[in-house]
Amino acid sequence: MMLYDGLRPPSPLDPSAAGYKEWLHVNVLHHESGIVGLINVSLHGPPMNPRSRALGTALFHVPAVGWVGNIEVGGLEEAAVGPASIRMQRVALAVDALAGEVMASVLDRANGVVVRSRATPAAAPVPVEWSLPLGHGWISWYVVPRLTLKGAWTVADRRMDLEAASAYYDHNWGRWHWGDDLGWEWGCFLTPAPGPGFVMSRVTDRAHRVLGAPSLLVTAGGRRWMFDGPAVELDYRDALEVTPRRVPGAMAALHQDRAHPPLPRRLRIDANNGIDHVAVEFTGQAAAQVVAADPIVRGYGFIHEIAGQFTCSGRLGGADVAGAGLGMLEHVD
Amino acid sequence: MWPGRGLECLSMSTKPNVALGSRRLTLGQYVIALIRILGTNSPSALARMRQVVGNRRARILLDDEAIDVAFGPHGLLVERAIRGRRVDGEGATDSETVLALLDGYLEVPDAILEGRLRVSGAAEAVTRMFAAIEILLDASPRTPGLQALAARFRFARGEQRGSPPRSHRHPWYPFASETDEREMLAALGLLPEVFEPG
Repeated sequence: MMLYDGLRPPSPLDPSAAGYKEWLHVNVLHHESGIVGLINVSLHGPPMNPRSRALGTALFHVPAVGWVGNIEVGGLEEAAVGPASIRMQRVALAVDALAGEVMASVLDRANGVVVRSRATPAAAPVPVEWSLPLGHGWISWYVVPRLTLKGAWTVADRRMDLEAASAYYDHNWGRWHWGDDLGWEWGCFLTPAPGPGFVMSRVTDRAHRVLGAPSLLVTAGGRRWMFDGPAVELDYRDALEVTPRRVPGAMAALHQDRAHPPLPRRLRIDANNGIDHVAVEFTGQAAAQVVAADPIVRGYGFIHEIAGQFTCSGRLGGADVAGAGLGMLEHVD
Repeated sequence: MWPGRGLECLSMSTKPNVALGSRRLTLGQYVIALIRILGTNSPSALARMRQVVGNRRARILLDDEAIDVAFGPHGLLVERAIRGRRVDGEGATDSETVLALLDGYLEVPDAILEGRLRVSGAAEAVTRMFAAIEILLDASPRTPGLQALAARFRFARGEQRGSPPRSHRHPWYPFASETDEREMLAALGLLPEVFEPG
């Protein structure tokens, strides 16, 4: 399956280029060990601007251990940016369109992580090429809701094969400044293949009081369902009372007031279009906070990654579905 | 070869990492460079820092280095610390702690509570010292020179980096709070906010 995906940097004439943001993102869910991994390479600020930054994030939640990995921050001009790849010193993600592969590479022994993986789509990509309003700007994305993996990782001194793990890939790009009145909620929940998988999203304001229309993308049995708007209900419950791992350290030190952010512990998603219906119950176990500093204007965004487990049940295409797996819920303000 | 198409992270190549100055700077040289870069790239931030600091003098101790810093009429004054000289506030730590803070493995309150970051002085002087540090940190995302200086510190003092912790961070209080204590804190509105669905 070919992947028609590539980076979308702004043209030199783009008046909104100062708000340029773009990233490639992979989640790897290792069902046997319960490890939930996040690998992300992102660009913040316009090309050719010495202030613009590139971030490489490799964070893995290991049950009974905690978060392993770290984030690296460098100049955008120091990153090797290709048509569909971003390579930093320790973290790299690349899309090979013709081969239909997403490749991830992390070499960060100092922080206990080495990953080399290749992922191929197990579900058709979903391009969302139009610009979704986000604060005063916009965001677009390209999603592959489930991929199969080859490769291995060493996390917290444990080497594991990734063949039985599940993966998710997305690519986001848009224009906004961190610190604007914006936020979003996103989640990726995958049972072991060939079970169902779910991708939830909605944009919000920074306080998560003004809520955009939610959507839930479901893949099961080789088919795909999209629920959105009033067909999807999100119900957050309980507070996640954990101390989050916060990176980068300098920005965490600056924002002591965000050391204990109010985050949800549980999320129930109910989706029903009158014919098909499904329910997802996610329970978070740990949180990490990535403090995103805007390199062009003074402002900060707080990206919370909540690792946990979920169960699901429902009826899709005339067949009952049920399962359990791992997930990552993202809460941004 | 893996992944095989030259798309792996850069550290897998044989090229050297980003060229960082190899010479190890002294504490005084770091402080001078920080203020010089701040003033060049963000004069308003430096003006705020000078306003916050005023004519106070601080002593900074890092590992076995100690300096006294103050702003004079012509700019920053950095001198070797002299025992007996009056200072308004003092901050002391070590490179391992600084690296742990930069790596996100240690939070500032934990560093203070564990005695790895010792700050002393009158309350106002200490508050002003932290405010000056906040101004510096706040300017750093928009000041590549400050980030490069942090990278140089990491590079030069990398051997002093401790191992990443392999377990959950322990709360400073090793015992749970009592019910009546929590009730009293709740009545006073002093408990942290809990998540409220939008």
